[in-house]
Formats: sequence, C-alpha cells, structure tokens
Amino acid sequence: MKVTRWPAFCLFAALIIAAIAMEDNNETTPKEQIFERNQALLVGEDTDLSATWYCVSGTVGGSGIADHEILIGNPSNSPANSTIIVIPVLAPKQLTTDDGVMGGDEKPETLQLTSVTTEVTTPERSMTSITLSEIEGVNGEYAAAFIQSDVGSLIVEHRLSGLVGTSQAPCASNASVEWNFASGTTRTGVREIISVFNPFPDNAVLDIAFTADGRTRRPEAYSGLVLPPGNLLPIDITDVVTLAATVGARVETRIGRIIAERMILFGDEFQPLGLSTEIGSPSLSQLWAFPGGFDTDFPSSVVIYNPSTSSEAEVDVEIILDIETGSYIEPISIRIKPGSSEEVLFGQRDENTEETYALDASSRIPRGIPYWVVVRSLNKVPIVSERSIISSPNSSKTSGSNLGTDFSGREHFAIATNGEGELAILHPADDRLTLVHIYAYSQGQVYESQVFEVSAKSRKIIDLRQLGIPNNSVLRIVSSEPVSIERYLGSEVEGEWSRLPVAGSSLVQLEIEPPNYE
Amino acid sequence: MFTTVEESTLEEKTTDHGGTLMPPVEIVVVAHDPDEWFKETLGSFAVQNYPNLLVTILSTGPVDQIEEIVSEYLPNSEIHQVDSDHGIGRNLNAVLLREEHPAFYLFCHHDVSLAPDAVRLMVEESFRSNASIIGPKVVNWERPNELLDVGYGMDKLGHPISRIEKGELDQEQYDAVSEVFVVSTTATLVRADLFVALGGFDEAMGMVGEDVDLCWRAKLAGAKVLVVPLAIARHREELGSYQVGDSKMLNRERHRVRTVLSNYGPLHSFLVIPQAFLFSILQGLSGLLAGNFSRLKIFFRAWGWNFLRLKSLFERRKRIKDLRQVPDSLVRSIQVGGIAPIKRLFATVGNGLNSTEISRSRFHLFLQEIRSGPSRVSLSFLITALIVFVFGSRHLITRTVPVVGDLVPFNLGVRESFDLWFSNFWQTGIGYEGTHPTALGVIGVLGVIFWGSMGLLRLVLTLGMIPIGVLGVWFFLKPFGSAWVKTTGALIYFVAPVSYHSLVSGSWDGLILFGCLPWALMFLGRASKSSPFGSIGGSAGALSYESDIFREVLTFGFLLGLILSFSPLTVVVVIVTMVLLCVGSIIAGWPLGLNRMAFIICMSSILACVLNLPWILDNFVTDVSWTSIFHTRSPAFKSVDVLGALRLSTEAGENSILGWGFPALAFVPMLLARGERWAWAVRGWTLYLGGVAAIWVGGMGYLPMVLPRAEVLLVPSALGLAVASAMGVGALQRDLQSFRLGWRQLIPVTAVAAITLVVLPILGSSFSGDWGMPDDQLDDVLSYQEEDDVNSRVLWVGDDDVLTPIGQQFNEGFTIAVTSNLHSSFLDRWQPPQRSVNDLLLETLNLALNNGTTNLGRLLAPFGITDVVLVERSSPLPSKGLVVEIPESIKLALSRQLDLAKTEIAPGVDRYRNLSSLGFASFVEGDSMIEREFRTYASGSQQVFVSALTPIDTRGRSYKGMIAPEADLYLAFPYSSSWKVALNGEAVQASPALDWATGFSPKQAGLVELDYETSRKHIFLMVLQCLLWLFAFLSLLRSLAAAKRMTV
Repeated sequence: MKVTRWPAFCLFAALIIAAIAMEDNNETTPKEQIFERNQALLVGEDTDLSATWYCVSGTVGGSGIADHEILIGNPSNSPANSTIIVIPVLAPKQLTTDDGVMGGDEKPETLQLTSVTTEVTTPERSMTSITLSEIEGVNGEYAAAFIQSDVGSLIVEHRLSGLVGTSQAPCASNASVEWNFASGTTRTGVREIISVFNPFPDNAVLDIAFTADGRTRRPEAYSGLVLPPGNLLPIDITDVVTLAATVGARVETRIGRIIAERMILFGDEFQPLGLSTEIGSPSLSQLWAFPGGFDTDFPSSVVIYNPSTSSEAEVDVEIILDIETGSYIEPISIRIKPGSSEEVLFGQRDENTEETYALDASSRIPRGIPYWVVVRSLNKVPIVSERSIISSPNSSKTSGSNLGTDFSGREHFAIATNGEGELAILHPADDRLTLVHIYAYSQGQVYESQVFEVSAKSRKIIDLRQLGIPNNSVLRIVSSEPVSIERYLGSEVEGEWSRLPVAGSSLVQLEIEPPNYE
Repeated sequence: MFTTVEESTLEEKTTDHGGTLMPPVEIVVVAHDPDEWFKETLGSFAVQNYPNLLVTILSTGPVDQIEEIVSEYLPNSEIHQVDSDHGIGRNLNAVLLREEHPAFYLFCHHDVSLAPDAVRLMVEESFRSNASIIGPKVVNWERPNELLDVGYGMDKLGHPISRIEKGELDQEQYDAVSEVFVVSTTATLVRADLFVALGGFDEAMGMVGEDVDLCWRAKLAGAKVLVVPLAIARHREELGSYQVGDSKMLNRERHRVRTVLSNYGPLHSFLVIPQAFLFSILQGLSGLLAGNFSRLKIFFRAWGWNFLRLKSLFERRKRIKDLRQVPDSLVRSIQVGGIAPIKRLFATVGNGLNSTEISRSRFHLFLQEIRSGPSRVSLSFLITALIVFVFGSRHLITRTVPVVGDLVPFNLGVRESFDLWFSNFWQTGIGYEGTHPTALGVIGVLGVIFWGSMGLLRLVLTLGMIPIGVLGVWFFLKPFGSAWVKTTGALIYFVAPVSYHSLVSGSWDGLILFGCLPWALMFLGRASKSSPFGSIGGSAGALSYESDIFREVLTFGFLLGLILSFSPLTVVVVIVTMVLLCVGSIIAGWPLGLNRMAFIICMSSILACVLNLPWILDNFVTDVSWTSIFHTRSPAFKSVDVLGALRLSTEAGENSILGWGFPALAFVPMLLARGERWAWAVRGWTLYLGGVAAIWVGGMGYLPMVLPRAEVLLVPSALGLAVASAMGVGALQRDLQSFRLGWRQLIPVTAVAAITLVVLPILGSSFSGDWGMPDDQLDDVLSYQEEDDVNSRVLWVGDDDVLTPIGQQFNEGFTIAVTSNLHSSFLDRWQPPQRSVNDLLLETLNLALNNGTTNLGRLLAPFGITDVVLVERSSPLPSKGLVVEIPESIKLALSRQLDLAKTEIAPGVDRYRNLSSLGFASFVEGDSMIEREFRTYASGSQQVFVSALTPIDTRGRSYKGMIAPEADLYLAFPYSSSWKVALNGEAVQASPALDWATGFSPKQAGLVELDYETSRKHIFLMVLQCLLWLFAFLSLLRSLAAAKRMTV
C-alpha cells in the first residue's frame, strides 16, 4: 500500500501547536482569594450546631479595674441557650525582685479557682448581657469566660468597665498557636496585662517574646511555659518589660492552642486616661487597613511590628484621602528590622510629653481632609499593625490601642449597647462599587437601614445615631462585595476603634491594589 | 519371550522363490501432499527384488488423486484415506485394525526411495540376527554420498544420539551391521507380531519421537534393533507444513518427556525423572541467555502437556509393565552415558571442517552463536538492561519497596487473604457488608505460588511491573522479525521516566498500567490482525500466531480480569488505547481489523467483568462514579504542561532538554517508514499524543472529574513512543535504502543522538539504588504511636496522591479515608462503596470546616473514629517525597475543636486524638443511641460514659465484655443482623442506632459476647466465583496448548 505522509504530519503538528497555544491563553480570571489564615472573630451560620466564644481579659473582683461583662447577641430566629463557664484566678505572683529586675527563670504561678457554669438564654433577634462577678460562686481577681451555645450564629463581645475607663471589643471565637500584639506599652502610669487561656483538654506549652526599644526579649520565665487544660494565666507585662513606650508581644505555642487577649490600663483612678482591650492577631499579614483613619487632633499613630527573627520588612504606609485634591500623598516607606517595631505619627504631637517619633506623617496630610491608611509589606514579610492613641493628662482624648483589619467579608456583626458610634466601611476593590445594608436586631424586632453605596477603593463613615439604631441591638452589616469594617464606640472624648466579627462563610483575603502614582 | 523369526515365519504364508521361503512384507507409506518425487518413491517399491511384497498407501488427501499416481506403478497396492492431523504414528497404526498381518511391516516415509535390494537385505538380516526392528542406511536424495541416518543411540533422558555428524560423507565407514537403540521411521522394517504386541506407535505422540518410543519399548520386550547399512534408502527430508518452527521442537520435547515418564520402571523413574525435570528447566533457562524465550515456553508446554495427560501416562505404564521382559538396568547399560545435549556441547567437531574449527568445541560454537547475528543485539540489551535495572533497584530488592502513596504493604498472609475474601465483613471504611475485591483472592492464589513469600510477591507486583512491561514491548515487536526493532522498542520503554516516577510517587496504578499495557497492545494487535500480526495491511510475520477468536478472547479476557481486580483504571486505558489505534489507522490510511478487534475487546471485557462480577456488582454498580475508577485526586496538585508532557516529564516545572530525545527518535519513521512500519509508527504517535492530550485536557479543566497523575496518563505516550521508535529503527534497516541519496541518509546520526539523550538520565538515576524512592515511609513515624487496637478507626485527610488508603472526595478536592488502624494495610487500597453514612460523615466534617462546631470529636465518635490524621507528605522528612499541602482552612477547622488533641507526628503529618471517641464496639451509658436520630445526638450536650469491649480476634469480628444494666451496646457499623450478641448466653435482638449504626439494648447486666457471622449465601457465591476462575484458567491452558504459530 502507498504511504501518504502529509495528513499525519499536518494533523499531529496542528494538534501540538493548538494545545500549546491554548494552554498559554488559559489564564484564570482573578478570583477572590479564600482566607487561609486563622481569624479570631468568626461568626457561624444559623444552621451550625454550636458556637463557641472565649472572652479572656477582665476582672471579677479585687480592685475592680476592669469589670468583665459579657454581651451575647442572637440575630437568629430561635432563642440561644448558652452555657457560660467562668474561669476565675487569683493574680499571679509578681516576678520582679525588689530591685525591679525580672525574677530570673521562675515561672509565673496563678491560683486557679473553681470554674463556675451558668446557663443563659438569649431570645431571638436580641441581646443579653451578664456581668461575670454577679454570677453566683464566681470569686477571684481575673476571670475568663468560655461560652458555648446551641445557636451557630451567636455573637459575643465583652465590655470592661473600670476606674480608668470603659472598653468594648469582640471576644475570640477561635484558638490559635500564635498571637501577636504590636502596640502595647508599659510607660509610666500604664499597666498592660496579657491574659492567656487554654480551653483545650491537653496542655499548652508556650513561649512569649517581647519587643521594646529595638530589641527582642525572651524572658526565661515565659519560655516553655506550661499552661494546663482549662487554665487562665494573666501576665502583667509591666513587670516584665519595664517602662517601654512601645511593647510588641508575640505569644507562640510549642504544643497546643490558646487564646491571648491584651488589656491596657492608662492612668489611675485619680487620673483616668483610658482602658483598652483587644484580642491579639492570630496570624500575621502583609496588608493591614485602618478604615477609620486617624484623628489628626490627637497624638495618634500606627505601630508596625515585624516579629520575624531573620527578615527585614520593607513597609509602605499609604495615606488615602477621602477627597481627591489633585496631588497624591507619597507613601511613607519604612524598613523594620527583624523582631522590632516602628511607629508613624499621624496626629498632633502632644507638646507636654517628651515622646519622640521616628516618623511623622502629620505634615504630609492636608488639614481637614479625612483619610484612611493602608500598611503594606512590600517584600512579603508578614507584619502586624495597630493604631495607638497615647494621650496625656492635658489631652481631651483617652488612650487606647487596636489592631487594623487584615480581612474582608460580606457580612459583619456588632453589638451596640446604645445607638451611638460610627461604622467605617472600606471597599477595597478598585473596579466596582458595593451596596451596604445594615440590619439591627433588638428585642425580637428587625430594623433595616437604607442602602448605602460605597465606591471602589474608598470608605464611607456611617454615623449610627443618624440611623436611629435602638439600644441593645445586634448589628448585621451586609454588603454586595467584600468590605472591611471598623467600628467606633464611645464619645469623641472617650472611645476607640475596633474590628468587627465577620461571618465565616463570607470571609475573604483583604486585597487592596497598590496606588498607581504615575 | 517372542518366538524366533524362523519359528514365526514358518507359520506364515510363504512364497517359493528360488527354493527359499520368503515371508510376506508389507510396505506402508503415509502420503501427505506428495509432489513429483513421489513417483520415484513408488517406482523404487515397484523394482524391489523381494518377491513377496505388498504396498499400502495411506493418503491424507483425496484417494482419487493418489490412486491415479499409484496405479501407474503399483496397480495391486491398497490405498486408504487417513487424517493428516493424526500424524504418522497414529496413521501407521491403521494396520493394527487388520485381522491378518504379514510377517513384516516396512514403514516408510513418502519421500524415501529404496535401493532395489533394500527390503531383501533387511529381511535376510532379520533372520540372520534374529532382529525385530531393522533400519537401512539413509542417505541424501540428491547427494547419495551424504549420510543422513545410520541409527541412533540414546541417553537416559530419551535424547536420541545420531551416530553421524551432520553432512558426513559416506565412505563406507558405517557399513557393518550394527545394533543400535533407535532406527527412525524414515524406513523401518518391523516384525508384525512385535508391532502388534507393542500396540503399535503411541497414538498420543502422533509424530516426532514416536520411533524412539517404539524402539525403546521393543528393547523392553527383548527385541533387537539393527541397522543394515547395505540396504540403502534415499531421503528427501521434505517437511510437511505441520513440522516447522517450534511445533517440531515442542513435539520432540513433549514426546521425549512422555517416553521417559512411562518407559522406566518405578525405581529408575524415581532416579531419572527428577533429573529429566531439572535438566528441562536448565535447558529452558539457558535459552534466556541467547534471548530465546521459546525454550522456556517449550519446557512449560511440554511438561504441562504431560501432566494434563496423567491418566494416559499411567495406562501406558501399566501396558509396558505387562510387556516388560528386560530389566531397566539392562536397558540403561546399552544407553549412552551422560546427557546427550551436554555432551554434544563439549564434543569435538568431527570431519568436514577445517583444522581450526576442529580444535574448537561445540561450546565455543554455542558462544559464537550467541555473539553473532541478531541475538548479539538482543543479548547485549537484555544483559545491559538487567544490570542497569538491578543496579538501580538494588536497595529496593535487598531491603523493601517503601510504603508510599498507594503502594500498600502485603501484610496479609495467604490464609488471611482467603479468609477475608470469603467473608463479607469489610474492615476498612465505616464498615460494610459486601463482596471484597477479587484482588484479595488473586493475592491469595499468588501467595500460594510464591510459597507464602508475600514480600517477594509485592516486589514482583510493584518493581517487577517495569521488566514485565519491557518484556511486553519485546513480545509485541517480535512479529516484526528484527532484533533491532525489538531492542529499540524495549529500550525506549525501559528508559521512559514514567515508570520510575510512578515508583517514586507511589502510584501502583501507574506501575500496573506500565506493566500491562504493552501486553494489552499485543493482544489488540493480534485481534486486529493488522500486519504483521495478521494479513490485514500487509503480510503476517513469521512469528505470529494463527488466529483463533476463542483463544484470543479467553486469553485477553483472563488478563483483563486479573488487571481489573487490581486496577480498573488500567482496563479503561486499554479500551482508550483501542480507540486510539483506530484513530491512528485512519490517520495513517492503513486498514485494521476493526470489527474483529472491537468484538474481541468487548467479549474480553465482558469476560473480565464476569470474573469479577460479585465485586463489581457490589462496588461499582451501587456507586457509579468516575471517582470509583479515577479515585479522588485533588485538582490542587499542579499538573505538567504540554511541553513537559511531550518530553514525558511527569513533574511540573521540570525543564530538561534530554526528554526531547523521545519524540526526536519517534519522528524517524514519519520520514522513512513504509508498509506496516508506517502504520504502526502513526498508531504509536496517536498513542503518544493521546496521553499528552489527556494531560492538556486535565490541565485546562475541561472535564468534570480530575484525571489521574501524569505518570499514569503518560504510560500510553511512553508505549506509543517506544513503538514509533522501534518502527524508526525498522525503517532505517529496511526502508532507508529505498530512498535516493540525500538528506535522509543523515537520519541515523540523529537517531543515535536521540537515543543517547534518552538513555543518559536513566543511567544517572540508577546510582541512587532506589530510583529516587523515599527512604522513609509514613508507617515508620506512625509506628512510634501506641499499639494498634482493632477497636479503633482512623480518619485520614489529605490528597489522594499522598494517602495510602483510597477514599472519598472531601472539600476542595481533598480525600478522606477511614481505616482500622494507623498502619497501612493491603486492604487500604480498597474502600467500600459510598453510602448515605459516608455523606453523613462528610456533612459532619463540613460542619466543622464551616465553623459549625467546636466538638467535632463528639460528632465523629459515633462513626467509631478515634483518630484524625492529616497527611501532607507521601513520606516523612528527611525523605523528599510528594508534598501536597492541605488547605489552611481544614487545618484551622480541626485546630478549633475542643475535643481533638493534636500531636505533631512529623512535619506534614499531624494526628488528632478524639477525646470523645466511642471506639468501634462500646458500651454507652448516659445518653441512649438506640433508635435515635444522629442529628438529635449531635446537637445534644449530654455527657456519655463509654467503656470499650475487648476484641477477641485481630480482624474485629469478635468482642466480649461486661455490660451494666442501663448501658447500650453500640457498634459503629451499618445496621446489620449479621452481628450476633449473646448476653449470658441468650441472644439479643439488634436495633438501628443513630439512623445508621447497629445497637443492642439488653436492659440487664451480664457477659456480652459479640460475633459477626458471614451468611452462607455469600460463601456459596464466592465458591461459585472460585469455580469460574478455575474453569477460565483451565480453558485458557487448554487453549494456549493448542496455539500454533503461523507458517509463511
């Protein structure tokens, strides 16, 4: 038979060329990246079998420096039966010697008191609060609360009230093997306490590292620290890192998982300067956003902490104005050495203090124009970033510290005990707008706001008073696109921004395109 | 003792001839398709100077044609028709049917011309020497001075030993009457009474070796065998169509074995038969040195043929016992000492050769035969490939093949395999009642063949698949009739990296496919009858087999049945291969026996399915999905791109130019090949591009399912390239010279360069001693955990590629699997079919994944799960192994759980102990599970108190324990009445628990004994399946024994 070669040649060649060409064109369309890091503030679905929350910082007795009150919000259509287990402890033994030097390698010890369990029912579409010290049988000084409910979409926050101020923040819904705090302080008149709780049935072995004054400290006492199951350990940082303007902290476990929360008490009963509580960041991120912006009238700053032991972080602090003025603000570029932190000042310097800042951005920002801030690690070294306001006795603003947001989602939750406050909604995408709907659940009723529109890569501040949010309500903020939200609670004098819990099913990675300056 | 010739002939009818009584002699000739020379044969009979002569012609063809020829020379002769299939011996036995016999029969070939005095001289010598069997001196028909036969000696193993050298000239050196052991049927004068007493020739032999047997039996009866050299017969040595190739060698060997097995008495049988068997094995194996597999095949077929006829052998021995007049010791004394083939090997060459050659022994000639000609290529390749393979696999052979991926350990003994196969209790998964995979039974049978050495069996079924595949290519290319073609194809397949990547990544599917696909291609080639396997599109090759649709279906179906039991995926690939062959034929413009091929593959597939029917019905019919065949591989693992696949690279990002040697070599026939080489080259290219296309389609995400790994998909490509490359070398041998001088003459240089490119990497890889397989295995790190407990269950989470157990798809394409302990087991490769309880388990895990619970342990406890193990590496550090990271969301979901205690076993391997576990069989107090819904239990928070039952056996089918009055007995096994519980000796009725499980609520305290009983119906079904396999196997043996090579 005669061999005809050209059909085979042509066909095989065409197939190979077509396959290679089509494979090159097979570029996937950009997708929202799934959030692949641990997140402490996740809210479940109605269909979930249970919800678990951990409120770690707070006191139940003694001097009553931060009375621990649990706020339970139930946006579902069925009553939530919750079990609250209170884990009280007496204060740990002080580690410092008479000379003020840290007490060698002696491990901190606490006296764990008997835990107390109580049942609370939260009606549907409403919230309840319970002060831990009022629960029968609760004694001790510090106390953590471990809440389990049969409603999956439960939201739990806690409010600390003391002589130096009040603070409300979401509790943690997850444990983690690491917790990061960027902006603690042990300066004069300030007390910082990091509480660590191990809710699991196995021991946790943890290490705590502190960063202050450009160097990292790993106290022997907090290295290989064993935290037995169900134990709470409040650690007074003031005793460990003395008189440091900025203290970064990283809590890591070798074995087990824990929850760590920080409480900072500014001033004293005679000169109260504020109370702040914040769940740490259970993971690091390359991108942090501060939708609420910074107050230029007070000494507010952003603290960036690089906990890496080897890599230097190249960070840009981007300032994005709400109003386009025709010119852009050049980002502030910082290099942060491994295991150290840097601070960038936005507000006015308090002339009565001797505080010095390495970087001052206040001069770059046009006065009167609101702005928001993005902190971006350019070389992919993960960091943690916090907003810090340090006031002085002469200032009309109280102090506090809180983390920025490193995630976005389509559904956020908050508990509002009064109708005051603000929501800063940041829409990070740069190619489409988002529609935002706010629902308030209070005493079995549902209130619905008008639809807000947030443009691409911009933020909107919503004053809750204007919406007429009822007292003691659960807020549910639903957006058509993933957004990042900060909430401001309190008055202009006393109050602070904080992140909001997000529905776990809507959680995505925060993505903000770098500004194009050309 | 027989009477003397004188006495016996007196009783016979005699003829007066010159005063001498001449006993009647009847010449008996079997005429098989004779030619012109037959007339000369007949003429020689007609001119015999022996007066009392009769001639009988036994014709295998139509009598009319023969009669026409015979009547011209021998008008008084008798002509009868016989069957050509019966062979000479059986046909000659036709004379036994007569009531009256002459004094002598002269059995003669139809191509023999007797000298005019030959008969007379033989009869006279018979009288003179009292001999019963007399043979003439046989010389060449054309060259009467060349000796062909002057009788034979014989050794103890039944090998006839010629008295002359091949081509030896007649210089009257053998012209004395001599007693010999054997005279051939070329021309044999036999006393008729002896012939009748011996029962004639052995009819089971038919032809070849029947003369040896007859003479041996005559010796046992006390008869004398002589050669009368003055009686001369010329012989043409015309070969009948039934006497070529292997068949003659095979017939000689099997008839020799039959003779040895039956002609010795008990004592000498005991002494000689083992020697004969051993020597046959050695002879078969020695053939391998010369690259000749036919000797081994002849060994199996010869001994197999005799063992299948044991009844006939025993009957023969009985007859010989009655006949025996001479002891074996006397017979042994006249046999030649030693073993003839060995003596021949070292014997010096006789006359007719020059002085140099005379000094050489036959052993040297044997070596020269090996070194020279086509065998040199084959031998060189076989030895080199064997050395490289053994060197490259030395650690795997001397230690073990690590348990990586789905290369499961063979930790079941023969008895355990059969025990499990006959049981319908599945140990793996969340419990199941159904038929176990047929592979369990097959492994049991193979275990028997391997004398229980399951480690060696595992080595053969994993690492051994590489040489098996290479041999498959070798045999596939055999009909092409060129050692270079065979060697090239086998070499390319040997050096193709796909099999070694399958080893490294632990893909047993890949290895099975690599080993079996060439054989399947060979069967497809034969089924298609495409040249050279048949006559479609060209001429049939010299070594191809005669087509027999029944045998082909049986052979292919049996093979597919075996493959299906281990790897259903391979059967799918075989069917795809058939489609690709058809496409290739269309592209090549070359015909193919499509209908026949399609029919054979359909029938073979049906046979394969029937052989595995109970398992298929239970596992595939109830769970029809691609994942049951392709498994549950994750799309997260990045596949190779098209350019990589074209180079047979199986790892994404691998960018070696050496791989381009494969397509470069395979391109040679596209430029040069003609005839069937062109057709098979294009078919090879179609297979090659078919595999690449599968990679491309998988990478583009056009399919609803995830395809297997690249090393599996590229096996057809490797085979296609091997075939195309072999055709390229064939084209260089035969087709290049048909082109005019030009650029094509440079192609051989390119081909050599291409071969060098592809061979280098494999030589480099061989230095590792394990082809890069990991040194460590997951079982090593898991062995540090506590002892296995049959009351436990482990939930594995990871990618299908790194997990040993086969499982079901979980979120984001990952796999979950449930096994009965932390260590891998042979059973892990098979999981029971998916049922609603699997969905319940998935739902539970998804709930945890979506932050829906922090008490996953409590939810997993009813499934009996005591541990959750996350696996991201196919082998632990420091071994490299395959790494597929589990999404952080899954890890986070597990880390959130309050009742799972995490232990990091090794980097990439995490274990979570379930602190709320119930175990497989337990007593539960505090929260009843009997006749309660799973969801109600899951959302409750009531604390339960659990105490485990004590397992009695290691297979989890028997437990006992003391139960409290308020406790329930909970079994994490789908509700089944096969579980029998006796409380203090009294039976307790089973009840459904938590929607799916089995529970018992005895309501009183006492000793509980729990047992699982397999139903008699199931056992009966399994016995039927065994019988079916046995029947198929015996039919296959019988069919293969009848297979014949084609004559050209």
